[in-house]
Order: sequence, then C-alpha cells, then structure tokens
Amino acid sequence: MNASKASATSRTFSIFLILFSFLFVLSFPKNSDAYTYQDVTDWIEASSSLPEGCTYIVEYDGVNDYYNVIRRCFIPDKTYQYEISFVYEEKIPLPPFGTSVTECGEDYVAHWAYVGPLFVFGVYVEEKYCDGSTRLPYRTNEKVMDSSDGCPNYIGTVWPVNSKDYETTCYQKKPKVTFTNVADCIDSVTGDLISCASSCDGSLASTEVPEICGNNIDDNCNGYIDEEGCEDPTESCDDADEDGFFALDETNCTEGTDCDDTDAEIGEATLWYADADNDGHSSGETALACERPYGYKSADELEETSGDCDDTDDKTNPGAEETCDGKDNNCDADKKVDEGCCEGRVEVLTFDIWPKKTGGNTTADVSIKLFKPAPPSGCVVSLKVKPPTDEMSSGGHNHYNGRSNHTGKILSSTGSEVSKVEFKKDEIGPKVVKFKSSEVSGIETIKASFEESNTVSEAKLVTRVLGLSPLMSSIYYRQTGFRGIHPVHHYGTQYTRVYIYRLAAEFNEKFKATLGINDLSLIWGGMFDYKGDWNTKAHYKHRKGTSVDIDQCALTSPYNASKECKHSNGDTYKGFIKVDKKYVGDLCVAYGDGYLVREASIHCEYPY
Amino acid sequence: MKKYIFLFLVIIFTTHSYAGNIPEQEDYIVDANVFFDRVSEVYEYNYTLINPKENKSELRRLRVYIPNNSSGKVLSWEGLVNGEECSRYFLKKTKIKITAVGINAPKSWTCGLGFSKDDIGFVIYGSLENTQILPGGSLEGLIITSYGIPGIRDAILEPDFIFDEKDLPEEDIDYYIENGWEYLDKIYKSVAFNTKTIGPVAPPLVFNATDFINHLIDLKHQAQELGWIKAKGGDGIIQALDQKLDNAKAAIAKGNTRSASKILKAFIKQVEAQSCKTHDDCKAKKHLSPEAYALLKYNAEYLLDNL
Repeated sequence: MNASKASATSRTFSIFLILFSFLFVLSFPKNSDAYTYQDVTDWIEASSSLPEGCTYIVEYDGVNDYYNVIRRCFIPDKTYQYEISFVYEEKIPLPPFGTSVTECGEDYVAHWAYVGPLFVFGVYVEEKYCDGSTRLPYRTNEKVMDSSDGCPNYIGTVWPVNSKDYETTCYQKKPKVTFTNVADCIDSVTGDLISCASSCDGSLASTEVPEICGNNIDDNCNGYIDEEGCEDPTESCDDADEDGFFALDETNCTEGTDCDDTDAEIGEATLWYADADNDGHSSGETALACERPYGYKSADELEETSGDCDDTDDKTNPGAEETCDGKDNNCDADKKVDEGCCEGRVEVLTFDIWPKKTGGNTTADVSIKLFKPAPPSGCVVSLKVKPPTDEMSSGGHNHYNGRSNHTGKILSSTGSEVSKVEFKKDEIGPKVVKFKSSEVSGIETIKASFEESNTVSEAKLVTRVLGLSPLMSSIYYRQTGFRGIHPVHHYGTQYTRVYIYRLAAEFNEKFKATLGINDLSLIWGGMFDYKGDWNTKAHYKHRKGTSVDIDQCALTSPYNASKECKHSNGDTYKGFIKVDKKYVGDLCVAYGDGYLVREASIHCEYPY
Repeated sequence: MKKYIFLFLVIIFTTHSYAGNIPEQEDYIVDANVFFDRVSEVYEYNYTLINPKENKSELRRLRVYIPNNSSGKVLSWEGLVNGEECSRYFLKKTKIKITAVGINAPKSWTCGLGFSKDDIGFVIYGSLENTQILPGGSLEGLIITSYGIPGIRDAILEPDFIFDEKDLPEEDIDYYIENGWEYLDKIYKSVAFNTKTIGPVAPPLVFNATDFINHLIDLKHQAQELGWIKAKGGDGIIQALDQKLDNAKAAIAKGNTRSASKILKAFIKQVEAQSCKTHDDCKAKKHLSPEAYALLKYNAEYLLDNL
C-alpha cells in the first residue's frame, strides 16, 4: 500500500466512523443514567453479529467509570489476533461495531482500533499498526514545525500516511517577533550573548536582538537564521597554493586545513582519533593535524572511531568480551558491568536412577557449570528439586497434593543436604553435587537459579525401576483393583509376570476359577501409596515389580451362580469361590520361589 | 576399618527381629519306602510325613529337591503319571534342572513340581486349608515315580506359618521394604526343618564300574552318617558291608567282573537280611532303615546289571 492509498483509506474510515456515530446516537438507549454492565452486554447482543473466531470481553474500569468492550478475534491462518476496543462513557453514544478490519499483511496499517467518542459530536480515532505504533489518522492542527518536520519555524500540519511516513505541509514562516528585554538573551554569569530563540513569543514587545552567527539558530527570532551581521567565516583564510584548501591557521581561520599552503600537492590535514591503548578502538577524542599525534590513529586504521570507554586498557573496548572482572569490558551503551556473568547450566550426568528402597542406584551426579569464570564477587546458584505435575511424568501417581514432600534431595560430596552452590572468583566449574532419589518414581526437575544474573537452568531426570512391564491379559486371571489415583498398577518384572501366569493357570486348572490379580507395582515402580496419601508404609512392598496381591475370591469359570465367596470385608460375592490361601501359597513357592505374606489380600513376594 | 564397619552393618541389617508368632523350628520326620517294578523299570518312592507329638506346630508342606545331574542320563517322562491332586501345568522343556518324575498325593493334599530362584527343581506337597498334620499325626501316600535310581536328596518340611506384616518390628521396616524377599527367606528358613531323604537320581550318562562302586561306597558312608545304618551293639554289620564293597572295588579294579558280581550279590543279600523293607514292618534288631535298604540294594543291583 502506498501513501496515497493509505490516505484514502484513512479518509474513508473517518467518514465511515462519523456515519456510524450518528447511527449509534440514534440506536443506543438515550437515558441520562450511567450505563450498566447489563446495558453493554445487551447492546452487544442486540446490535452485532459476532464474526467467526471472535469473542467479546467487557471490562468495567471503576476508576474512570466506563466499560471497555473488546472484540477479540483470531484470523484463521494468521499468527496474531486483532482487537477492536470501545470505551463507553456515561451518556455518550456507543461507537459502531462492524468496523472494517484490514489484515496485517503489509508493513503498515494493520488494523483499526479506535477509542471514543471522547466528545459528544466528535470521534477520536486512533490507528494501530503492525509494529505496535499508533497514529492519528487525520491531519493535525496547525503547529510550529520543528526540524523533524523538515521546515523548522514554519507553521504547518502533519498527515501521517503510514507507520513510517508523514505528509507534511508547511504554510508560512513563523511571524517575526521582538523582545522587550535584551537582558533575557545575556548569560547572567558569563555576560555572553545567547540565543533568544527559546523566548520567541508573539506576546513579547519588539526589541532587536543580535543574531549569533554560525549556530544555525534564529536567535533573534526574526525569521532568518544567521542572517544579519554574520560575516563569511572564510574571509580571513588564505589559499596561497590555490589547491582549494585554506592554510591551517587556527587563530585567524577556523576553516583552515591545508598542511602546506605553499604546495598544491599537499592538501588538507588529517583527522586523527585517539587510541592510546592501541586496541583499534578510539575513545572518540580527535585531533586535526598534518602529522600523527602520539597515541592517535586515522579512521582507516581503527575498527571504530569512538566508543572505547577506557582508552588506557586494551582489554576494554566495544569489541571486547565481558570477562567478569568487575569492569565494563565491552563498553556497552548502558555501561553494565559483568553482564552475562554468573550464567550457566545444570546437567544430570547419571541416568537410570532408582527410587529409594528399591535396590538399585539411587544417586545421580549433577553438574553445575558457569559459562564464564566467576567475577570477583563470585556467583551463587540456588538448587531446588521440583516434583512432576502431570500424569505422564508422575510415575503412575495421578494425585499431587503433598507430592512436593516426596522429591529427591541435593547432597554435597560429603552427603549433607545443600540448597546452593557457590562459585568463587575465576571459578567456572563444573561443580558436581549428588541427586538422591526419594521413594517415589517420576520425572523430577532440578532447577538451578543463577542469582546474580537472574537466570535459570533446568535439568530433568527420571527416577524409576527399570525392567517393569504390564501384566498381559489372560484367560486364567482378571486384573482387579483399579483406582483413579493410580490408573496403572499391574506392572511387574518379567519373571514375576510369568510366575503369576503359571500360578493362575494352575489354580484355574484345579479349581475352575480365575484369580483376581490385584496390585503389582506402578508403571515406574517406587512407593505405592494405594490410598493416595503418600503414606510410605501403606503398601510396604509393591515397589519393584516382584509383589502381587491376589483377591480372596476367584470368579468361577464357567460361571456358577450357586457358588458364593465371603470376603474378609464382609461382602459376599455370587459366582465366586474362596481362594485356598495355602494352596496359592504353595503355588507361590513352586513357581518362582516366592513367599506368601499375610495382608488384607493374598500377597506373594518373589525374589526377582 | 571400613570393612569391619560394613560387616557390622550387614550383621545389623540381616538379623531380623521379627516379633510375630513364628513357630520354633521343630523336627519332623519324612520316611521313605522304595519299590522297584522290574517290568516297567519304574521306582516308586513312597513318603510318609510324621509330626511328632512333642511338637507344637502343624506340618503342612514337604519339598524334595530332585535337580537333574548334568552328568546323568536324560530320563524319560513317558509313563510317569501325576495323580488327581497334583499339578498338570509344568513346562518340562525348560532350563529348569529337574529329574523326570510322576507325582501323587493323598486326598486333601496337593502336589506339584516347582523350582527355586536358582532354577533347581523340586517336588512340593502341601495341605489345603485345615488339612495340616497336627502334632502326633502322620500322613502317607506322598509318591514319586521315576526311572531314576535311589539317591540321597534334600528335603524341607515346613510348618503351617504365614508371615504377617502387622508383626513387622519398626526397626526392620526399611530393610523389609528394600529386601523383602531376603527378609522373608530368612524367616521362612528359620522355621523350616531341613533333612535328607531318598529320591530319584538319573544314573550316569556314561557308565564306569569303578566310578559307580566308589559312588556306592560313598552312599553307604552317607547312609551311615544319616543314621540309616546303625551298628546296634557292635560295628560288625558296618565292617561286613565295607569289606564287601572294598573287595568288589578291588575286583573291578583288576577287571575281574565275575568276582565282583559274586561279591555284590553277597552284599545285596546282606543288605536285604539286615534291613527293614518298609517303615511299617521294621523289627528292632534290623540294622538298616528302609532308606538305607533302597539306597544300597538298588544301586548295587544297578551296578551288577551293568558290569
């Protein structure tokens, strides 16, 4: 879209707005009371059809006593949202809905948003652009133009045609004004004449003030710059060799640059830049001289002609790396010292961590390293272990209250619990601490907060019993005991699963009934708090896939309704038979060298 | 020093202090009678369990370990039948080391084949609920049939006991959680009665008369040590048996199989004469128990048959 099109768009839009403003003056309830939330929502419902992908949000601004209505839409296949906002003030008609929206496909005029009306018969309109800037989409009032407008001291107007460009109209030069008090233009301390341009005001009476020559300011406010009495600055300069350069004579000729005004072959002097530390970066200090002053270089010899914030240290310049030494080595614009220091990363060096009390490795090496050697003040890294917060990483626990008390711990090399690691001057690491698992499985996160740099690094590690797989379904047994807090709890070792199969097959052969196979272990093993209360003793075993609970009643197969089994909890199950605990105990021994344990259910414990 | 500390810790953690109602370890008796059917060549091992009346616990399980000897013949399972009370489900073609057997149990007891965590096979007999052997009681009819000749086998008899977690002492909980099976293993073994009996053994894959006579001599010594051969007033019977076995060994060493056969026959006759054939019919003056009888007679006959 070019500038003229944009102007046309804006004009069309303004007309459009005015028309709709009148329409809404007619359509909106005209009572003298303040609008209520219900008024606004009713109005929205009655006066607008909501475009696809849009919603309305109504917010009441209690401070300013108005309702802000936002139509928030998502444009399909675009990656941004656009909003149209309306502010409703008491007794003021609402602006129109249905205002056209221009998609943000080019570098300007993204979408229209307008706030208003702020005046009873006027419309305050504001354009928003893709780059987030805003413009008034109509010509401004006349103003005194400045240098950014291209015609300083002229009266003119500005018409923004897009987010970057303006159409400027300069009407006439600002009228000449005079002053009543010349003293206003005299520096009270030095007595020198200073510019009166800042005092140019038509209300002041006329008193002639001299123009200061050469400062490109209309000091006397007569509408002309450097005009009266300003002599040619080169009047006192000589060019004896007629090579076009005035003789270098700072006393009489400020424009002189010729190093040898007797030789036309030798021209103007060189501008030299200070580089005292010889690091290729100048502090910006210059000297115009025919010969190179000591500690100076020409622009061609430098990487940069300014910006060296310490020209006595060749390790300090805009191209230098910040070295965390308490100095601003890279001379950045905001003069930050040691920025980027005390940043680093945490990593887990050991995998296959087993939950505590499951017989496997329960510690992991954790490395904390800085990207740069620590500054003189050192660095502190706080360490924290965060528990899993979703089902996929919870190790089979679909409950989370209190889980934070069951995370691994960070230990020092001596075994004491630590919450932070300190780096002294010039230390970069890695420093290694130990992660000691808790009794619960899951994916935990080690969060390292690098305090001085206010940065964070995280590393995840999995605590689980390896080698557990789900118990396959079988005609010889039923999987029972499902609970929402532990949705999967029939995981066991390879041997245990085979032993259970054989045990159930044997039982089925003898008693014509299918055993109910209750709890084994959770998907990743570890503590199995079957009541979901993180009680470590709730299920002593069932941690590493070698424990199985067998229901006290087995379902007859084929089903025989005349059979009854009375469970120890008092319930009677029809079609079930009581499981002979001793026989199951023998099967537990026979197939896998297991042992029977007396629990609420029949528990068999296998060696592996 | 560290080693001593470690050892100390191991002792602490492996010495359970389970305070539950664990029966004291008591002696039980397993008597074995062996019958050989020369037609089918099947040996029948018939066991009787006895719970002495002095005991307090009830006897409910017998395990007889019958691992397969890698240097022995692979025996056939053919013709070996399991009784109604016994399991049908056992994978015969597995890595589990077990001698081929048929098994049977009296009514209200069950039996089956099993294997330890080291894949050592055993025969297991167990009571159902309320059919345990009370003190002063006995149970016969626990049978193994096999083509294996009698050998000395480990047996475990166990009382009616199930470990109850509610009796777990507080100080043992952590160890129990982490090492549950080992903890249970210690407790269950502490109440079990370990003994020896006779059971089937596969004869050697490659027969060597010298090796086998040495084996027979060894069996005789073990039987003596196990109390299955008793001198009863003098060691005449023992000397007589030893002398015959030594002479047979010498004859075999000289390659004189005829002389060896003659001596072995005399040995068998002496065993038969000095033995109780069964535990039910055992006169007081007999020197050899049915176990010693079966062990010496059938191994001597096997040697004789293969000379």
